[in-house]
Amino acid sequence: MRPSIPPHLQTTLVSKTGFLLAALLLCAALSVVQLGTLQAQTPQPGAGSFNEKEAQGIDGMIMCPVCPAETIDQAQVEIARQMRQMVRAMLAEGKERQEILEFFVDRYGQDILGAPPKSGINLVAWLAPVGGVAAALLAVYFVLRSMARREPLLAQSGPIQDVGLLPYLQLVDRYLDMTRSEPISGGPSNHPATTDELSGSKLADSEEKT
Amino acid sequence: MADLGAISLWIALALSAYSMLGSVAGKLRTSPALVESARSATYAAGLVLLVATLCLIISFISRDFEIAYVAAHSDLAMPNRFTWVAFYAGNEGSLLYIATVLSIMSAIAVWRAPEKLKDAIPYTTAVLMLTLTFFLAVTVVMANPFDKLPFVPVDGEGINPLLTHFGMFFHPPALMAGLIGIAVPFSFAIGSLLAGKSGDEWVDAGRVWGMISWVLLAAGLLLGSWWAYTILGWGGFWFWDPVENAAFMPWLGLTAFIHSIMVQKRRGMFRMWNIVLINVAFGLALYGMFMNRGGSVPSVHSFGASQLGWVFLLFLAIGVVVPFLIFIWRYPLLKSAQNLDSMLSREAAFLVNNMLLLAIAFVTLWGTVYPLISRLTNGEEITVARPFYDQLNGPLMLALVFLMGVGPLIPWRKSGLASVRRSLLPPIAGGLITVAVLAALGLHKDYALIGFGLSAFVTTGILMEWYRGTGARHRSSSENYGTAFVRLIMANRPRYGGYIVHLSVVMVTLGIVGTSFFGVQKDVVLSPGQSTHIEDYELIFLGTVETSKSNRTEFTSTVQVFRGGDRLETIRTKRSFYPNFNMASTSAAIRSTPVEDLYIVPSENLPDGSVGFRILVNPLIWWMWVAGPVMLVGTVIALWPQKIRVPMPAQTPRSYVTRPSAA
Repeated sequence: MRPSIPPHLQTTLVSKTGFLLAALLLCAALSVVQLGTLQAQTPQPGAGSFNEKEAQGIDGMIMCPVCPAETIDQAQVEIARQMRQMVRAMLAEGKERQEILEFFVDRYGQDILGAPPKSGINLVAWLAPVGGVAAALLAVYFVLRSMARREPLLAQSGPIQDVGLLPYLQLVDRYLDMTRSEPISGGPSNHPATTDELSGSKLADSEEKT
Repeated sequence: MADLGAISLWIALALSAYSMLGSVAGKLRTSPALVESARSATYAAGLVLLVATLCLIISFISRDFEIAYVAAHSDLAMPNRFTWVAFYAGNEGSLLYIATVLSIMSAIAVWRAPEKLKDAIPYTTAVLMLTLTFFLAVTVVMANPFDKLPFVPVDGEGINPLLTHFGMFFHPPALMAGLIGIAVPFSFAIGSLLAGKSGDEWVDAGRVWGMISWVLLAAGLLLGSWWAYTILGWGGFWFWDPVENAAFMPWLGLTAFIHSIMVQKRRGMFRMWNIVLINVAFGLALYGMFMNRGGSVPSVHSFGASQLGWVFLLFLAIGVVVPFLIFIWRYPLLKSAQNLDSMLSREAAFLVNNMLLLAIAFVTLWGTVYPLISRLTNGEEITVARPFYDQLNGPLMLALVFLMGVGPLIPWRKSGLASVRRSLLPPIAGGLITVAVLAALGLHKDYALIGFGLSAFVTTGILMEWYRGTGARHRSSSENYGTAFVRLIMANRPRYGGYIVHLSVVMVTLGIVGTSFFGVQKDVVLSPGQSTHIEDYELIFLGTVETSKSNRTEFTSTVQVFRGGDRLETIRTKRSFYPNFNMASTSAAIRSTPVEDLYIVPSENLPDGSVGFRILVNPLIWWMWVAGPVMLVGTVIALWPQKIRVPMPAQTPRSYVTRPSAA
């Protein structure tokens, strides 16, 4: 006896799947929004004045040429100090973030930037993780779905005939639910009287013996 | 001493090799005596390595400069308490430390292994001893801490000043112990596989040892961050430096593992997945040790270029490929005992959690190797540093915090949307109210709002669980609330200990969000008597005193802190110059409160007596350092042995259902 998933279970599966997918989409959307911010943070400073926050944001993008793995806002060496001053001088001249970054790239090479540019071949650096994460989440989704749809290892026992069993089943359920968050009264699986619940996999193990 | 130490190392090498071969041979030829003697050799190797360790300590204390390692990492001026740090200051000593820790952990693991693992233990022992043999062979042949110099120098070179900080007493040893500790759960997994015991027998031992490594790594990472914060003098705590990443990735893998192993413990599911995860974690740990010893990327942490890199790379390749082959060989044994009942279940939430953790690990790994890929493919030099990780890992971490709030509120097996909605309602309300209040108070940074909202979301969920459980106990057993709360936690330690750890993660989140989005930084040069402002603080620089110590010159600057006209504190900050190393180290003055840290560090002392200061206000970072002890307490509670009164739930339905129906 190997019944497939009953229709009423399938419908709930779909709606629950929707819930989970929505959560995943939220995560994906978050990362996309974040990717966009680099380009978006380019306000127009008036000549002669600049926003210190903006300057520090640029500092955080530029590596210190002589110290390993430090950006110039972290590094305490003389050259980092000079570069910080140059950033501020250029901002005061009204230069934009992108121009300033390009100035340093021209002088020191592409590796002066703390992150690869989001263009050309280096787009790979950014897209590979995003693609990888998306693929992984999709994989999780399909694995979960196949695990849920898989035929029960041990077939179900059908509706319970013997009403005398109910107290035992209730005991089982209560024990199983000790792991759950809600107090003992809550949750659908704590009402063993409905046959829907009983025909679920809780009783699925009985085929082995019968 | 040098001779005794060197001989001990050779003996330990022989013992571990014997134990490795003996336990496999004894198992294959079914010779219990051989297996037993191999087990004794495991204990003996631990003892002999303790002797070697003691020898090196005594050599340091007696400043036996004939030993090259002692001469390179200590001098006569070094106070004896720094022997602890000098011990692992270089390649040789740190390898001896790792080998000793591994041998002691192995001995305890083998000794305390549960009876049900009897068949698998010889293989587990063999895997552990193979790892130990590798480390000992490398130590003896390539980096022997007891090698002698041809002459005896008058004085040693002295200890690296960066290491003479309180945090350095714990950060490196905790990290190294955590990294090598992953070998233990890994060996339990591989041992069970080799013995054909793929089921759930190894789960308890794997979980306990996984959590021990996990908490060691977590402590190491937090202490390292704290060290960077107080001594490196730029006001931050995390570099995304390649070696930091190398310690961070195994921690992520282990975090995934200790969550996922709970699913197997409870439900008999994810058997393959847990094997994969512990393999990944072990592979990442080996990679971390490789990066630390002559890896290909420059870092503030490297132990100096050495030939060891290639040997570690080789071991890394073996450590990844061989377990993979074993896994494929034993694949048919790893079927789940249960089906997934619903997409909306804690099992499913755990799997998504695993994916997010691995995604963060992948981004980190990708960022670490991308410069190499770029150099090799199109010859372009590319740096991947903080901006890259912030942008990619930031959102992933927020998603993880979100899941941390959802997962524990979804029951095992399956759940209805309605009941999930009901249990999620209070936390969601808590999160939204927090966001609304903060927005009303004038906070308009999206990411910070999301971060704080999610923190409130998770915290509300946990508090609600405690409140409900305590209330239920109080009503049903007339315990008073205090007793009920303590008994509640003690009744399900893995779960409530886990909640405490979750709270500590929320604290870390607060610290990260606070400093990343609301930190204020200012660089200023002050002459004595001058003052400056930052936020609502007013600072007056009083002056600098120069003192000469045996190995350094110290510049101590005194600053008075005022706020709203009241004098809060007089604080001193120190900059030391070590002529032997041509190196300066700073010690920041930090006025720390739960609301914000005022952080002052002198970046340069100018000849005219004025001082260049870097001043920061770091909101909420206090919570990050408090998180460490909280995390430790939570882990200890979760690990505290608990007699399971009832059989595993996965098996329960069968006995209940079949017995009456057979009758």
